[in-house]
Amino acid sequence: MALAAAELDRLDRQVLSLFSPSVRSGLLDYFARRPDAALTVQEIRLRKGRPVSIVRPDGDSLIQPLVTQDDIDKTLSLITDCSYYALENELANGYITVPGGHRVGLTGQTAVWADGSIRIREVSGFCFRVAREVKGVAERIIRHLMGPWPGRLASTLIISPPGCGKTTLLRDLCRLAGEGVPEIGLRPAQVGIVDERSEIAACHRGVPQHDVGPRADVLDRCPKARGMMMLQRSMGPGVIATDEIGSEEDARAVAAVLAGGASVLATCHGRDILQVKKQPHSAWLIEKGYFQKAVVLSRRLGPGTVEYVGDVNGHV
Amino acid sequence: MFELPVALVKGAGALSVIAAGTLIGLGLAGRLEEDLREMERLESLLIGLGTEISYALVPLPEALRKHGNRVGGAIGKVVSRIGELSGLERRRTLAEAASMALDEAAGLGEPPLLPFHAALLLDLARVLGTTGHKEQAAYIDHALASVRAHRRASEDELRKRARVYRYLGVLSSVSLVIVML
Repeated sequence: MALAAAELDRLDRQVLSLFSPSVRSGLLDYFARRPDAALTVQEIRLRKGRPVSIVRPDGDSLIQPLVTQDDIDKTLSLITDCSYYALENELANGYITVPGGHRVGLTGQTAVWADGSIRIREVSGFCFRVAREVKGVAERIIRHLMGPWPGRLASTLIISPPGCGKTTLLRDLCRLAGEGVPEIGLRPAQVGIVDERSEIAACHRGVPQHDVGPRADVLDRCPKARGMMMLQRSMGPGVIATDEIGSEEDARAVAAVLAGGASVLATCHGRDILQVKKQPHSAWLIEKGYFQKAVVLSRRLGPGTVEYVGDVNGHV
Repeated sequence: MFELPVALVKGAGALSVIAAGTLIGLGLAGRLEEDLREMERLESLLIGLGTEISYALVPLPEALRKHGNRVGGAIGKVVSRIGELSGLERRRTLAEAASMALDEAAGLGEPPLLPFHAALLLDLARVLGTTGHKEQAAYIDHALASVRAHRRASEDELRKRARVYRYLGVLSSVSLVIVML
């Protein structure tokens, strides 16, 4: 109960206070009736002229009042810090990140500009994806990810289908790599994170909203391949982390970074290592020995279930 | 007991009346000239804001604080306060912050904003920060044009009135002294 109250307090400070008073009070009424929902809410969706939608793993609920244009205007003004113009490029991707690491997706009437970019001219809906940091998930597996060199992590591929906790594990590995783990002889390293989709560190104005450790340098919303090369040249990291590699360009950048001496922590979509080996560029990285370790996750016992951790070629 | 010569008392009284009248005239003229300076401050503020929005893409609350403090005066104080009260951290829209800052200024007995300036600030607060930078630049250009037009229209009149107040202060006090003598 105390946990739910604390979570509701956090939710109210970071998310609900971005809504107009009528929407906020409707949501607070809902959470007062169902305190446990504060712990499990995944998304809060606002659509103009329709009820507010609260999405949980077991379904969604529609609550009154109906969302008005004023509600939309107020929320848009707050999430953009009264500065829509300053976020135009970010908004072209369809989402922005607010303090706390919560991602806000926007919908509405769009316009295609001469340069081919798409801008949302009339915002009519928001999807707030509630971010929850799960610290400590990497602690029980990190001892299996030590590399051949003393004190350093092996280059590791984290594999799972979407929604199984790849990014959460990667974030926690970054934190531990930066802090070091003396018990297993892991020395603290400078960590470079290329966060193309703002999901690892969830930066707001370049400042990580999630704990990615004391030695993390983040390139937010930077294309992975170019970001990895930039970090290697400019920051001299011992570990480079990035999300969802898969293209040829990504594979070449990983190879270049590894040749430069850094370890790479990366995630990749797939059910298991065999499936990843069917993807040409990921297979190339594994066959050439660029990744030494792999972690396979599933949702079998809930998000973050570790199905395998160990040598990348040791799993069939 | 020692008595002051009557002529000396009369002279001192006459000088006091002339000085008081002159000061009242200068004060009234100074207030009109301050109105002109306020218009210049608002122009300078809008030019600064336009640059921040179009080129530096500085968040509006920060830009308002910076340029409000830079230009100073009554308008600068109110604008800087709008910057402090608005934004994500304060969970207030610009329009909410603007009406709050204007109410605060009135409540604290600050020198009042010219009605034209207060109306313009409220109008800008409704549209600033809500669109892309091109539209924002257009809004600011439009506001700047209207401030310039307003200043041009009232500048001559205000300067004439200021001169009249200065002369009137001196002349009316001299006239009063002549009548009293």
